[in-house]
Amino acid sequence: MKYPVAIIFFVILILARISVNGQTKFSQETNFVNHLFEIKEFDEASIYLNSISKKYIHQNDSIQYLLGRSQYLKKEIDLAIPYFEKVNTENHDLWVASQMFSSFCNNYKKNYSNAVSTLENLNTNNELYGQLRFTQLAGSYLLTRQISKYDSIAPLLSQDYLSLQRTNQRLESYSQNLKNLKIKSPALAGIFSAIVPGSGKIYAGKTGEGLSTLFLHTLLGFMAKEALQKDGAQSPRFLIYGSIFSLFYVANIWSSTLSVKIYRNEYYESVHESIMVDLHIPLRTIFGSGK
Amino acid sequence: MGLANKQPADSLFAIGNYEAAAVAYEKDYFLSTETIDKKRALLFKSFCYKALGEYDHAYEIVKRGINIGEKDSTELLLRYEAIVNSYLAQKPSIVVSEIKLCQFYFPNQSSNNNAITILNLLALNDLAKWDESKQLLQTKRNIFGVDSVRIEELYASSSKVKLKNPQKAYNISLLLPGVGQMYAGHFLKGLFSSTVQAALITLVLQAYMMVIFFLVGYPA
Repeated sequence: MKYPVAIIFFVILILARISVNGQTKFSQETNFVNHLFEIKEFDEASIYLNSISKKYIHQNDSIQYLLGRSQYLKKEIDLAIPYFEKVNTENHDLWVASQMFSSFCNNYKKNYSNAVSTLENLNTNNELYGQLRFTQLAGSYLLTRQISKYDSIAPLLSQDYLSLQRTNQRLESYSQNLKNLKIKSPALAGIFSAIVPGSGKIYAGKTGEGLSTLFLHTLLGFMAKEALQKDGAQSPRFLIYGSIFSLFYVANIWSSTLSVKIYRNEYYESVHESIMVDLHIPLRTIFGSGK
Repeated sequence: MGLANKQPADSLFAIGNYEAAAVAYEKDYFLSTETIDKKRALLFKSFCYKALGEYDHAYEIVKRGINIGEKDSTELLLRYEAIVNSYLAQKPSIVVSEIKLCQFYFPNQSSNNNAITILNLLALNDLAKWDESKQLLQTKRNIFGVDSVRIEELYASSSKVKLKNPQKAYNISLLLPGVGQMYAGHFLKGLFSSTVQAALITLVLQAYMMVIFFLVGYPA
């Protein structure tokens, strides 16, 4: 009986046709979603992905990844993170991409421990992904100012990959800047300001502010001195200008001690932004705009 | 093949699910091969966003459709929608430029279209271009059934309204604080502001005068 063989043959052919069709149909959907990304209709992409999610249960991970990408491209990083974390697939490229974006988003939101643990648990045999992982880890360590951990990973960063070269070089220069950062003491700033008003601010790093308070104090001090000399210590003129001067003088000392910390935080903030830009560039190059 | 794709989008639009319809129309655009189908898809997508009140968005979609090219009847519809959406988005300068473009490409149809004339008048009035507006109304007064004498009366009173220029108020305020507010119409607020500013300036000037007198010698 030839029939059972023929029937089985046809069944296999039909099943293969269905699964291939399902795959090509889904790749059509991803083409459309990429088109939506290109014309910057991110909300429409989200709506569309949600509407087809029930139809493509097998490709749910890709859908979650694309949903994450649409939130990410909208700059809604908070909303993007849960989608990336949902991706749990055997497709290695898809999994690596979602882990990388997830850790980047966590770094952006300053959830540094989450970002580092995602990267440390990322296992890959792919050389490019391995190097990307080292770069992202190096960036995370710099963001948390763990210089020793950065130093341990820096030798592993290879210069061979074009997409990572510039980022790795810039991370190295940031580490040098962080190492050379002089630690300023708030107490010292206060003492300087007590001797010469404004000098504490200059020590903290804000030269312009320091000079302007020096100028202001000179003016007020002079007014008070004139009042004392011309009208005497009990005069209303001296009392007013003297008390204004004292007020500014005390405020100057207090704000100088605070400005050390404020200026340092401003510096860290600007370094954070620069590192995030440098970490984003290889992600965009390697994983494209919504694959 | 094209017709089968249109059904879901049109039915979504009919029941009022405009967000989903918009995506469906974009998909129609993406999958269509004929220019006319692409333009139709974009036109209906713009209707969705117009219904949702997102007039800037609708305008951008219409412009996409126009840029496809091929001057056909759909293009006239798209140009008309560009005019309507830019008016609803409260951008009268864009309304006027879109009308000029429409008149360039479709001279006969646009001059006979009363809706375009009305929008043109409204936009010119928004821009306070009274002369152009009056001229247009004179040429098209048949639509409204008014005579030219009445039109002259209308515009005579409107040109007397002195519109305040915000940029001028800002500039005046830079030089004379408080006077900008008086110009804008808030006289009392302006007066208070200028008094306070004058007092502060006097205080500072007094301090400087003291320094100068110290250096030069206080006239006893």
